[in-house]
Amino acid sequence: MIDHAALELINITKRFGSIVAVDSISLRVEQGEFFSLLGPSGCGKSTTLRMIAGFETPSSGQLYLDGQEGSELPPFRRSTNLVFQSYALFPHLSVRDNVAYGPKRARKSKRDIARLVEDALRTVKMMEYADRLPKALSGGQRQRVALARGIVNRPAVLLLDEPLGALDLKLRREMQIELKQIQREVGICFVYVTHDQEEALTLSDRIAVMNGGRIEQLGTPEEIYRHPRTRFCADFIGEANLIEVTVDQVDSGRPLQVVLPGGESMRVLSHSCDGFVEAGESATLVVRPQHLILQPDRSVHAEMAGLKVRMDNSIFQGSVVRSELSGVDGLRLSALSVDSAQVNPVGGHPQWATWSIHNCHLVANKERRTKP
Amino acid sequence: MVAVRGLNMTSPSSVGFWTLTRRRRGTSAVESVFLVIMAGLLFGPIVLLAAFSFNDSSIIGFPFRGFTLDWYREAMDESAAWESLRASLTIAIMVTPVCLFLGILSAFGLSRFRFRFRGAVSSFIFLSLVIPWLLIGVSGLIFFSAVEVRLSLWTVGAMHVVIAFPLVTALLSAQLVRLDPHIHEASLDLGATERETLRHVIVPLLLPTIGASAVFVFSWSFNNFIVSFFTAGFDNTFPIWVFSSLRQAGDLPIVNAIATLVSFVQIILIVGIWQLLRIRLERRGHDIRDVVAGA
Repeated sequence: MIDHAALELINITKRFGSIVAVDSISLRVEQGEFFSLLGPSGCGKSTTLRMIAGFETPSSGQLYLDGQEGSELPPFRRSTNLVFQSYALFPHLSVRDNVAYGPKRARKSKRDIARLVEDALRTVKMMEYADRLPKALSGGQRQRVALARGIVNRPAVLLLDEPLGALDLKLRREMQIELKQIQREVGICFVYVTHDQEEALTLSDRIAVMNGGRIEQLGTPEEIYRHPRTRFCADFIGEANLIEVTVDQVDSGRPLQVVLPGGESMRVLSHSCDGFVEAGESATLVVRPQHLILQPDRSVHAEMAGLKVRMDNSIFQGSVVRSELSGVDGLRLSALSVDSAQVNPVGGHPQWATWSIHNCHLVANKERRTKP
Repeated sequence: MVAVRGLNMTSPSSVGFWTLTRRRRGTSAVESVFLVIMAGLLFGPIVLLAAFSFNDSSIIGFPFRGFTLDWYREAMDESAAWESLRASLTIAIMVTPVCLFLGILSAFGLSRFRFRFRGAVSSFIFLSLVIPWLLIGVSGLIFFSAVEVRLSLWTVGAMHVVIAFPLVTALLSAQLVRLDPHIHEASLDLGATERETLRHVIVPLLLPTIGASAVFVFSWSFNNFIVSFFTAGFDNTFPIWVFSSLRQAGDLPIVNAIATLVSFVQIILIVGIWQLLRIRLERRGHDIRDVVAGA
């Protein structure tokens, strides 16, 4: 048997008049994978989703569903189902009939329909509400019904358009965990659209970070967090201190050393600028707040880099203390530390924000046009 | 709400009153007094007229001279009245489906598609809800004589369609706009064709509104006097017969008796249909006020 991807997009482009909403994106989503399209609003993620569902036709490019070309198929002929942000449950049908709607259109036997619906409702723990109307359900319950309605047809790909967007934070967290469990249980490939980076990190096997109609980076949550390819990815995924540096030494396009704003040099161990930067060029160093260590004096250590900073504000947040710092040239940094004892008082002496050269990452400032 | 225009004294106002009382949540004394005064002003004269149809006197006025059913007996022999009544019923029965058809199509067209001159078409349709019926009646008369169409019950029916179908358009568009557009997409996404979507989702969701529109159109057509008056020629609809009979003072109690009878039947029918709609809707968890008012 040929092992084909659940979904494959090849150079998919969508133009609305002169606006390019989706700019030649390619991606491959494997069977059973939880895949997220992550990006700010207007980045093209929803348009991509609607093209996969069949509500928009790509201007160019190919789309394969379960190995079959399907960019021209109408929505009702596709092996995809979509969970809408507004749920879009049929208000005149009971929970049971909402879920049965798909199997009924597929002309399944009464017995099969009943069994499928029951399975789906059990999976989302909504069996006891089967005879209720959507109107008589809470937001979270409607969400579950919408999910059951999507998985009951066993689509090749289940598309989810910010499905937790309308829920409050607590319920959202609960549903995230459950959604992941359900996905594992049913084994259907989920393509999940969200602008919430935390949600994408929590749920996904892999994430495509989208910006301006293009994919900036495609990888596992950990890859994207630890090795962001672009400044945008570094900033969008997780919290980051972005420090402008100058590339000092380069070996055939690979940065070896950079100069920090304070004048210190730092050896580069981790970067995404292969064959891409030149000496004297500016670049951005990404340091996560939890990796910044505040010290009263500069301890000389080859493995540590540092900047002279002044404490602007210190906020006790329970498990951590957040320090807002300012450095030279209006540079602003934040640091998270577990131990409040090491934090100096606000407005006190200048101190040092240091980090291990193993815990930072260099990204180029110029835009790159190569494939991720 | 659009339907306020053309409220006649018998049907829709009684419906309004009825829904008002159903919504009761404990009324203050002031509110109750206000309600009684309003109801008295609205319905007092009608009730009084109905009472006079049982009065043993050819003069409509106090004092009561005694109870009689003579006027009703005489009314039975008034063949012109029954003929006109039959004409009105026939027109209303024929006008209603035509209005529903045009109204449904135009509502779908206007709310689902964006096309050139959409605004113009929309204002053109709703114009007849704004132009006074007197003007519409007179223009109808001028139009039919210009194109040399003989005035008859057919011309009356045509004019009723003109004035009543925009009401269906208005009620249905309001409902269509309120419908989550994703519901339509969800149906397609779940494997239903456009036709199946229409049958299993859109029509069931619009059915109560279509039913309510039919009630309104029927009563508009049945009760319309002014437009019919100008376009009926030598034929009579019931309201025209009532108007022409009023000029013979001796017949007044007979007219009164027939009008009472017709109003009574109409109220029973419309309240009955309304209740039926409401019960069906409530069983599905909807409120009839949402369906009709579209607000």
